Amino acid sequence: MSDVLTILLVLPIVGAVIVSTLPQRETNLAKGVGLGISVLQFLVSLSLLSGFELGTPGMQFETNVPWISELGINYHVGVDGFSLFIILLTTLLTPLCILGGWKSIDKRGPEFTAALLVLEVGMIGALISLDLILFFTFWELMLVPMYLIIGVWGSEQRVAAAVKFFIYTMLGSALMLAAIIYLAVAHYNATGGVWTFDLAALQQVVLTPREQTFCFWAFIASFAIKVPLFPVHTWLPDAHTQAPTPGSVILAGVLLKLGTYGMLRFAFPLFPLAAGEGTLILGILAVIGIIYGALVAYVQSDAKRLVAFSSVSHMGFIVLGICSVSVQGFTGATFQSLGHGLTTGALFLAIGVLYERRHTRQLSEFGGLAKVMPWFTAMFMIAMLGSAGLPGMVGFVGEFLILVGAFAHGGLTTPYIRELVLVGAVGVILGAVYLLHLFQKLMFGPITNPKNEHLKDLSLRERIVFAPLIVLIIGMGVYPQPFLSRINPTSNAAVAEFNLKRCASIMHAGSWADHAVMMSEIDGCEDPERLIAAVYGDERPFPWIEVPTETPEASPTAETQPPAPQPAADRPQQGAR
Amino acid sequence: MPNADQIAYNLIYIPLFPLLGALFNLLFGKLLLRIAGDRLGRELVHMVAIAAVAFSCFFTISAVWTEMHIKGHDALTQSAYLWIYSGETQIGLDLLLDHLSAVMCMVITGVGLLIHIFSVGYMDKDPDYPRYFAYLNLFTASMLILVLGASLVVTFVGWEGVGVCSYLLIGFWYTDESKASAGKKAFIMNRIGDFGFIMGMLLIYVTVHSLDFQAIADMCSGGVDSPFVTHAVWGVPVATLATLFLFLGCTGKSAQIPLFTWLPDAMAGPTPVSALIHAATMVTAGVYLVVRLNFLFVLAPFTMAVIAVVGAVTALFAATIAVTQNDIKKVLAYSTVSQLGYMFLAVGMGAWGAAIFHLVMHAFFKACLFLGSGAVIEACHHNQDIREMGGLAEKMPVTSKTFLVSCLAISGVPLFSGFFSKDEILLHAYVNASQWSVGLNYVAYVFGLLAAFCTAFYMFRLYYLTFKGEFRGDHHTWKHHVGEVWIMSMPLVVLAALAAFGGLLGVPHVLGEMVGGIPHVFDAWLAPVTDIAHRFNHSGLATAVSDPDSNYFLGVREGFAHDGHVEGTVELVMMAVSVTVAVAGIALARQLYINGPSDAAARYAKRFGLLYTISHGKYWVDTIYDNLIVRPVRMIGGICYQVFDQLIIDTLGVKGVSGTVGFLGNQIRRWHNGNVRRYLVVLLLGVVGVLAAVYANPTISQIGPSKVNPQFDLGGLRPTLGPRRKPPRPAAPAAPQPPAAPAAEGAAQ
Amino acid sequence: MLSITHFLALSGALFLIGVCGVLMRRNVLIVLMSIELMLNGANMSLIAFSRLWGNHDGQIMAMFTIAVAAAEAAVGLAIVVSIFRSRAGTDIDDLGLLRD
Repeated sequence: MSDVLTILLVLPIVGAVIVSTLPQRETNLAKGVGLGISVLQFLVSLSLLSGFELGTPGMQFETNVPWISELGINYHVGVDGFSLFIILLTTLLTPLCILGGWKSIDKRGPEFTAALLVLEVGMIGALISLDLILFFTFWELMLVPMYLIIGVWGSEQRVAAAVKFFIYTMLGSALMLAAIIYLAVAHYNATGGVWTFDLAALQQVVLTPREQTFCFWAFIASFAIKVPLFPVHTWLPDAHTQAPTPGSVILAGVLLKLGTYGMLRFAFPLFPLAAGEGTLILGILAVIGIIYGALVAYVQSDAKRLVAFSSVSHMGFIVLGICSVSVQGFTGATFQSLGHGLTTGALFLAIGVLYERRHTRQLSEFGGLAKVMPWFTAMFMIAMLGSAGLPGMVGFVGEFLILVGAFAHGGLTTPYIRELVLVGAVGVILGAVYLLHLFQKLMFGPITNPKNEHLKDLSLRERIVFAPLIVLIIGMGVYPQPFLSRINPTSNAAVAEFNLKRCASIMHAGSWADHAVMMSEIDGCEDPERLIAAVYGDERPFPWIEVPTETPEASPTAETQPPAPQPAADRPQQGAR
Repeated sequence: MPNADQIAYNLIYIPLFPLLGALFNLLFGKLLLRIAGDRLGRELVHMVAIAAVAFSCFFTISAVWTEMHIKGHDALTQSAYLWIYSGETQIGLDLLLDHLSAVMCMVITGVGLLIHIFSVGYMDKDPDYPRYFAYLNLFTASMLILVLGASLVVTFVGWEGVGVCSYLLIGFWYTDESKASAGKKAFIMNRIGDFGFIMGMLLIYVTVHSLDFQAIADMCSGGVDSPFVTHAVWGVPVATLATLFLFLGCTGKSAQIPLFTWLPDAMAGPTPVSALIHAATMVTAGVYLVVRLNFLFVLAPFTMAVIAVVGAVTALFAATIAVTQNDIKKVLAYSTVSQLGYMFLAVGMGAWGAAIFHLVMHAFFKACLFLGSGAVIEACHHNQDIREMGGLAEKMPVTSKTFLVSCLAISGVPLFSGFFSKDEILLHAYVNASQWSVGLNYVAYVFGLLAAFCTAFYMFRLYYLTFKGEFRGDHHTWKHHVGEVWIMSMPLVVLAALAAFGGLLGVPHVLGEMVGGIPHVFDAWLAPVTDIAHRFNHSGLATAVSDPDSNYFLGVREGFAHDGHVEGTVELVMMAVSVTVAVAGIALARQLYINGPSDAAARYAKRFGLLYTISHGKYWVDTIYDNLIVRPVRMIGGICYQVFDQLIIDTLGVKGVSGTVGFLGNQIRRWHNGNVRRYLVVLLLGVVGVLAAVYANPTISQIGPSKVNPQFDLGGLRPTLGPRRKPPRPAAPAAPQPPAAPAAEGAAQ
Repeated sequence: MLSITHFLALSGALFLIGVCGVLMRRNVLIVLMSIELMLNGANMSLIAFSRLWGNHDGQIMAMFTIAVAAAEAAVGLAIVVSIFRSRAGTDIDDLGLLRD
């Protein structure tokens, strides 16, 4: 049973190898094989759901095998509430993508299918990795097939968009890698010579405030670009607009979620002190993103670009939920990730349907489609309302939990979070504005363009693609319990651990020590509740942690080597000699 | 609500049946029409829809019956399942039928049933028949969830649901761009309200850590000592802030200033929809919400004052617009806004019972008026301009009579329902204590009275222009006039009867005593929900609310009081005043419009030219909003996109960086001309440079610990073997220990 | 007695002569020979230091260098021959293939 995860990683690779040996003209055969593999993959991943133990916060289905033992790098994988459903979303969306792009991908089918399957490996691998190097490997592995999908099968400006996507993402990754190595070295020093990149082990390292700040922002740089957060979002509209439909669906459905997932899994638990201080900035950026994305979406004339900007807006909500560092916020963020994946995925698929028929995405080209494509209109409307966060649909549950978590419990880490929520909630209005605008431009009004008069409604294949998404959009909104009951324990544990380590970090910072230590060396950690109570008190007694200024050195920057002897300090002494 | 005596009951069936009906018609309606043939298919479709609402009506009645006959229980509840939960947040899908929601459910299912029946006739020829009934059923289900919700979140589900249904039904004939836009406008304005609703929920959640009405009520029972008053967010007591936000939600849903402009536009939908959604049920949701949370609103005197003022101003404002409109449905729409203003005036004055009473009566007569107008529009071949009508009483006797009855009711002519309900509101406006500012109630009263005059005037203007005088439309329409069909007339008659006699449920105290002890049935029924003083007394905090000197006093002021009720003479005088006003309005309308638009009317319009233009132009609110909000938002979006996204981030940021890199790369490329010897020269120069630097300053190479044997003096090149301060443990692997000196020494010799 | 300085001077001289040859001559064959000279200069200093420190690392390395130099000369000459065939000349300034 515990090998399910490995099977999930191996199966698509096998599939990719099989598919890529097919001759290039066998496009449909390749897609068929890919579909079969990915459906099989989905069925295998369902065993995760059935085998998942309720009420346990920790990792399940764990496998831990040494990989590069000299450096303590392991093949360590596992699943918990944060990753479980995103994995399922990945395995669900991949076959839907192959099926949805059946017609639109008409060249290099084997290569395309192989790229999609490798992409799936990358995404699942990143979601299940519990070793930082392993995670980083998969994180980078995702990049290549996505780059190819955009760059080879995209629209007119595809190469520019692909390069932009690649470089943006690489920039973040480089910083993250530096931080990963720094953290591992700190662990090596703190333990007296043990190399490890294991997440659980590294979580025991308490860095000094300064180190935490650098490492945290290095991680966040990578994740924020992926999310994408406000000022670094401009790759997204380009990538979405140029990518083929399956690419857009995977991009919006899963890839963006990995950014927020990374924050939940890595950035926040590893560097809680810096995270606590950084949530205000992150929150502000998230709220700006919510409003900004919505406003910009409203003025787009390209349907896909509009939905792309709406992603910026929606992802802002998720980041806001994470910034609240509350159980509701974490659960809501995870749930909203699923909701956004489903609704936006459905919207992109729908726009793909239109593009297949008309080869344009300009809003002005459409109008009055409700008359000729009633089923399509119905699907689109459900996806749209789900995206707008209508109660009874998937979007509401996540949004509500995020808002409640942030408003009621976010104050512990983030000052001014209530004001942020107030502004962010305005996004609820704007969300309706641009989505209804989109819907009306496409569906309502008279049919002005004669080309639209004989458009075909959804074919059977397209209905099969939409059906599971629509069922989930409604089902998860009406009865989210199976999902929440699996996410909640993990959120609970994550918030508790965050607070414990944050308090430990504060204690550590208070001791003026200038090097990283292990958690176990900090007083009071054996009794977490007392420590948290002592540090936090009633309200939030540590608004901003001051970095001590009277320490002799002030140079532990983000360099990868530990500054064992301090040359900067020694040199003047030598000159005096 | 405050009463904890609740028994479980299967309430879920009430909204379930319309929901199933909607699902059935959405999924199979079209198919049915195709398989069973158009005629039979339509029969089946509307049978399903009507049966669904009838079932729901039946379940409501049986539930209310149960409620009435089990002593000691004030509410029926049902917990369907735990819906959203995380951390300490537990939101169940809980339903609650107390006396207030019982009234609402009766109205929704009762009036809803009649309107479903009317629709059979009205939508007869429409190709999208199944879709229409599906939406109508869906609306009924959402509205029932709204009123049955036991927590704010469940109410919000219905609240949004009705918004969506309203959107869908307004834009039902979506091929008309303007109709689709009207739907969009309604939804977006409602969304602005929803923002308020959400913020209100969050603020309440912060205080109560639950959103159940019961929990909120318990928290409020502390009166002035409850956390709602003592806790502040952003420097304002939570009660005030939360209620203000919630009231913003109410203004959106119930079309009050400033969010009222969607309602007149919403008349783009089919007329039965206007009757059901935009007159009888959905737009009253705001009033329902305030009454539902009356215990909270009462703790926020400022909000109450705001509500009263907004209500009074809206009542008058909309009434003055209605006076000059020529579209039969627009008149009724503005009338609805105005009447909703009355209801908010009532709740703002703490007259909860009066507000709900008026809500119910309004549902009757306004639904009747809308359906009547629907019949007229259908008869006039979808012409809605009353200037081209007239004399229709001859062709449509039933419609004209029921219309007349409803006009009398809404104008407040004695013994019709509006007389009782509207007078009760005006009475409370006059005599109730204004908690926030002295004298506010008199202003509100004057506004209400003026609005009452306008109401009587425009309703009868409408009636006379439509049904009396000569027909002013074209000959063709008159000749091929569609007659009345029973399926459309029957609901009219039932509603007219209710409009005529429904008022007897709330006979004022003084009249009731005169006739011999007829009680105010309505107030008595709602007492468990609205009797705050009783509840606060019950919890031993008598001073909190029932003390006239306190800030939180609500109810009849001492000067007018007479064993808890308004003194008889005051009541009679008030009644006389408002009846006079109503009769004056009717008389004026009769004089000006009995035989079509008279010269006198035109003269008046000319004399008050400015006022006429303002009223006729609807105060240009739409234009103002368009220029002040809609366009700027779009413009900001455009600026954000063009300037920020495209120019600053993409062009200057991303392209700037990539451009700089590219430029530098191009420059450096010139060096790489492929000539090996050139490369070699550069290499050599580099080596020489490095060596020269080391020679000039030997310490330059001394970045890490040196490995040079200290025995050799290499021109100041000295290894650093000073004592290490930190760390105590072995250093990093990249910095190994210097080689042992003795070994090197030995080797040198 | 010959001190280390003499050996280093010789090795430096050899190396410099090699460098000058590489930089100044245009014939590929001469350039190759000059490279051999440079390698031998380096070998010389390796051996000298090996003697000075009294261990054999330097000598071993010199052996390696000689082996590598032989291989390099073989490959280099082969390239020269093929260039000569395709270009009918061995003027080094005419060759800019590295650029593209």
